[in-house]
Amino acid sequence: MAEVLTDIETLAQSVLEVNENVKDYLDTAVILEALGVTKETAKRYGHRDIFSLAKQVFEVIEYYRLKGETIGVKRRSRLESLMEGIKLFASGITLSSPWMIITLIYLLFKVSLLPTQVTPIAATSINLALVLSILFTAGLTPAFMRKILYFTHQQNYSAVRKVLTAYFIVGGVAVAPVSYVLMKALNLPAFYPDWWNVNFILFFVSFSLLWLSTAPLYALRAYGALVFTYLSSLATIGVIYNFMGDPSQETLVHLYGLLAGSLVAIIYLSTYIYLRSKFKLEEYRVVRVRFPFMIILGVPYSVVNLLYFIFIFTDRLVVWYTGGNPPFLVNLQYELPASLALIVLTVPFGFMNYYLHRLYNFMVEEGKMLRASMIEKYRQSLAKIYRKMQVAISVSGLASLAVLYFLLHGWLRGENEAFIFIHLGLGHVFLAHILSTILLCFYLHRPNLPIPILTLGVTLNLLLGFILTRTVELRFAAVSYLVSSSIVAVLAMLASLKLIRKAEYYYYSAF
Amino acid sequence: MIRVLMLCEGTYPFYRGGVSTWTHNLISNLEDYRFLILSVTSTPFLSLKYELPTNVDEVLNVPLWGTEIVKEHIGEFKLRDFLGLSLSTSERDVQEEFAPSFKTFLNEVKYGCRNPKRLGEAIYEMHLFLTRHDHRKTVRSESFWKTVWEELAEDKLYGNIKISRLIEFSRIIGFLLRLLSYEYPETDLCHSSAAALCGLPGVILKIREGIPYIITEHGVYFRERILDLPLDATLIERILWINFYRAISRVNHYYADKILPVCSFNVNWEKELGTPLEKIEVIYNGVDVERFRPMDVGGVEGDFKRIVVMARIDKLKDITNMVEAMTYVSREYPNVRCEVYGPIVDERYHEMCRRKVKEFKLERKVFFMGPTDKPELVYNKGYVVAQPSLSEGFPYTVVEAMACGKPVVATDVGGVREALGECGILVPARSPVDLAEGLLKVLKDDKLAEKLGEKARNRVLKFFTYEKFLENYRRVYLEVLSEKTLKEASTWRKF
Repeated sequence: MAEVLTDIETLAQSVLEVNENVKDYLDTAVILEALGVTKETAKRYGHRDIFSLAKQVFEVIEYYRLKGETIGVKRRSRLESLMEGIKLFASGITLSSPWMIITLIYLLFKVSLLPTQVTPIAATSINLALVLSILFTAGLTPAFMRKILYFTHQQNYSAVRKVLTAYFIVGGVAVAPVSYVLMKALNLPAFYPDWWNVNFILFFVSFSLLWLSTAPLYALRAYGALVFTYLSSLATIGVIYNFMGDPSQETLVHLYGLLAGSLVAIIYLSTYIYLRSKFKLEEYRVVRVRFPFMIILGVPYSVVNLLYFIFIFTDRLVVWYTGGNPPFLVNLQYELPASLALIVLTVPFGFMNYYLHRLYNFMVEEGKMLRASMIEKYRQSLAKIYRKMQVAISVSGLASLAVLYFLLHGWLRGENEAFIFIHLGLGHVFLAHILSTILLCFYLHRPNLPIPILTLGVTLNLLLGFILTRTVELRFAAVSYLVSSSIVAVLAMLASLKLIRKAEYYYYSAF
Repeated sequence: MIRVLMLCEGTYPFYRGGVSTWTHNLISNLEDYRFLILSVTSTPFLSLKYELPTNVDEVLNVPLWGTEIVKEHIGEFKLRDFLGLSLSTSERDVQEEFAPSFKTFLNEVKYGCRNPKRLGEAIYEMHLFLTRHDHRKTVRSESFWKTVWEELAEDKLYGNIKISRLIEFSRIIGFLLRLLSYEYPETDLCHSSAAALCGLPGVILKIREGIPYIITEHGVYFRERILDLPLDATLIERILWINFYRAISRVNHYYADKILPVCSFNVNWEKELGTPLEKIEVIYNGVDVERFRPMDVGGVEGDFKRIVVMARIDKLKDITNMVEAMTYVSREYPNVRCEVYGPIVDERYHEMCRRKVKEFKLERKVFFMGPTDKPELVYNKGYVVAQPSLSEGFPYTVVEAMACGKPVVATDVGGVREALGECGILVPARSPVDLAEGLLKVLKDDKLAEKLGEKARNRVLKFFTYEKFLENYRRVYLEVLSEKTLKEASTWRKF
C-alpha cells in the first residue's frame, strides 16, 4: 500500500513538473497519457482506467498545491533602463529631424533651404514647395505605412514587399503630375514669372521624394538609414540650390533642376532597394493585397496627418496670403524666427517618445502583473505615466525655448522677430502635447478621435490668424498659433485622459 | 446529387498530414457525392496542397488571421459590401442585438458548457448578427468588451486572471468569431473532421435547417488543445481555455447526429465529455492496399538499416523523443540512420530538434528530409518504421507502414494500440530508452522484423482497407440523411 501511495505521489510530482497549473482530473489525464501512462499502468495502480487514476493523482496535487501564482516580468537593471531611455529619447528627436536638419544646414552651412536671403518671390516658390510637399506626402503615406506595419507584424514579408513596391511606384509616379497641377493652380493667371514655376517644381519634386523616402524609414525604425537619407537629400538640394544662385538670373536652371531631381530620385530608389532587401520572401507566395481596403482603412490616418501639418503651417500661410497678385508672398521677417522656433520641438519630442514608449510598454507589462480585479490600479499607473509625460514635455519645452532664445537672440533682428520666435516657440510646446495625443491614438488604432479636435484647431488658427493679421499686425499670426495650439492641446489632453481611463478597453481593441 | 459540406480546421486542402489524407481519400472515393469544403485556417495566403477531386464544387478558405477585414481575401467581396456592413453597424446595434447572445456564449464558455443547447443557440444568434454587420466594428466595440468584462473580470474566479491575458483571450475570441461572419453554402449534410471550431457551421446549419451533422474525431480535439496550452499559463488561464475548448467540443457533440471516432481510444474521452454512447461509432481509417504494399525499392544495403519516421515536425509528434532514442540505438547498432519525412509546421520546434541532433552528435545519423509525395516508396526503403508521437488518433503512418509490410515501433498513444494489435512493438510515450529498445529489438532480429511485417500487412488487409472504410461512411451518410427525410415526412403528415 505504501509503495502504491509513493508511486501516486511520484506521478503527481511528474504531472506538476510538466505543468504546475493542472486544472482538473481531465487535465491530469492528458499529462499522464503524455507521460506514457496507459490503461494497463492504471490497472497496476488498482484503477479501472486512466481517468480514475487521474482523479486520485489530482487529489494529491490539490493537497500539495501551493497557493499563489508566479508569473511576472523580469525587471531590467538600472543600466539597461538608462540605455533604453537614451535610445528612446534619441529616436524621439528624429521625429523633429526635418526641422532640425533643415535649420542646422541653414545655420551652419548657409545653404539657404530657408531662403531668407533671397527675394520674397523666390522664397515663395521654395517655401510653398516645402509646405505643399509635406502636405501631399502626409496625405499619401499613412495608408501604406500602416499596412506595411500590419504585414510586418504578421511576418508576411511577401506582402510587405508588395505594399512597399506599390508605395514607391505610386509616390514616384504621382509626384510629377501633382507638382504640375499645384503649380498651375497657384499660378493660374500667371502671377509668377516662368522661372518661378521651374523653381517650384524642382523643389516640390525633390522635397516630396525626400519625405516619401523617409516615411517607411520612420515606420520601420531604420534610424541610421533615416539620418543618412536626410543628410544626403538635403545636402544635394542645398548644394544644387547654391550652384543655381539667383534663380531669376540663371539660364541653366533646367539643367540644375534635372541634376537635383536625378540625385534625389537615386536616393529614393536606393531607399526602396534597401528596404526591400530587408524583407525576404516567405512561404506565402500567393499574396493578394486589396488596395481599396487598404486605402479606406488608412483614410482617417491620412486626414489626421494632413490636419496636423496644415495646423503647423496655418500661421505662415495666413502671413503669406496676400489676396492679390501674387496670391502668396513670403514675408522674410516672419520666416527666420518661424523657422528657428521649430527647433524648440526637438527636446520635447525626445521626452514625448520616451514616455510614450514607457506608456505602451506599461500597458503590456503591468497587464501581466495585475489581475483583472485590480483594474483601477492599472488605470492609475498609466495615468501617472501620462501626467509625467505631459509635465516633461512642458518643462523641457519651456527650458528649450529659454535656452534657444539665449543662444539665438543675436540672429533675431529686432523686437518683432523676438516676439514671433517666443510666441511660436510656446505654441510648439503645446504642439508636442498635441502630437503625443495623436501618436497615442494611432498606437491604439483610434485615428478618428483627434480629427474633430484638429479640425477645430485649424479653423480657429485660420480665422483668428486672419482677424489678427488684418486688424492688428502681421506678427500676430504667431499669437493666433499660440492661442489655437494651447486650446487644441488642452482638448487633446482631455481626449487622451479619456483613453487612459479606459485603457484596458482601448488597448484590447487596438487591432 | 447529395451535397456534403466538409468542415476542416488547419488541414485539408491547405496543409498536409494525416487528417488531410483522410479527407482527401474520403472525398476522392465518394464519387457519388458532391463536396463543398470549408477550411478554417490561420491565413488567406495559402495554396492548395492537394489536387482537388472532381466532385469538389467549392473550397471556402476561412482565415481567422491574416487580413484586417473578414472576407477581404474573397474576390467577390467588394469595398461597397464592406462599407455597407460597416455603416449598418453601430454601438447600439452591438449592444442590443449582439451583446445578449455573446453574454450567453461567454457564460457557457466559462463553465465549460453546462447547457449545450443554450450555447448552440447563442452561437446561432451571433452568426445571424455577424453576417449582417461588420465583424471588425463588432468585436472592437465597447459593448463587446463590456460583456467580456462583466462575464469574466467581475466573476469571482476569473477576476484573478491577469489583465493582459484577459485582453489576449478576448482578442483571440474576436478572431475566432470571424468564422461566424460567413454565409455557409447550401448543403444536405455537414461532416466535420473534428469536434472543433470548424464544426460550428455544422451546429448552425443543424439549428437553422435541421441539416444532418456528423463528426469524425481523429485525435480528441479537447484533449489535443490541452496539450497545446502554453506552459506559462497560470491556473486560472488554463481553466478558462480548457473550459472554452470543452464548451466547443460539447456543443459539437450535442448537435451531431453521429460521432465517428477513428479508434476506440477516443471513445473514452467522448464518454468523459458526456456524449451519449448511442451516438458514437468507431470507423477505422482505411488505406489503399494496392498503393501501400511491400515493394523492392532497394533501401537495405548489407548490414546498413534505415529507420523511417513519417511525421510533421511538431511538438505533438515528439521528434525529440526519436532524436534522443537514436543516441542509444546508434551506440548499439552503428549501421543505422533515421530519416524523418514531413513538413515543418513549427519552426521553433524544428530548430530545437536540430539543436538536439547537434548536441548528441547525430548529424550523420538523423536526417530531416522534408515532405514527400511518395510515402509508399519511403516506407519501403525503411527497415523499420518508428512513430514517436505524444498524441495520435488512428495514425495513417502506422497503418500505411503496416500495409507496406514493415515492422512498426510506436508509442502507445491514442489508437495506435488498436492499429498495431500484436503486429508491432508498443512503447511508452516520452521514453527514448524504451523507444530505442523497441527499435533495437527489430534491428537486431531480421526474423522478428520479417514476421511482424507480414502479420502487419495481413492485419491491414483484414481490418483497414479502403473498401471497409468507404462502405462504413456511405452507410452512415445514408443513415443520417434518411433519418432527416423520415423526420420531415412525419412533420409533413402532422399538417
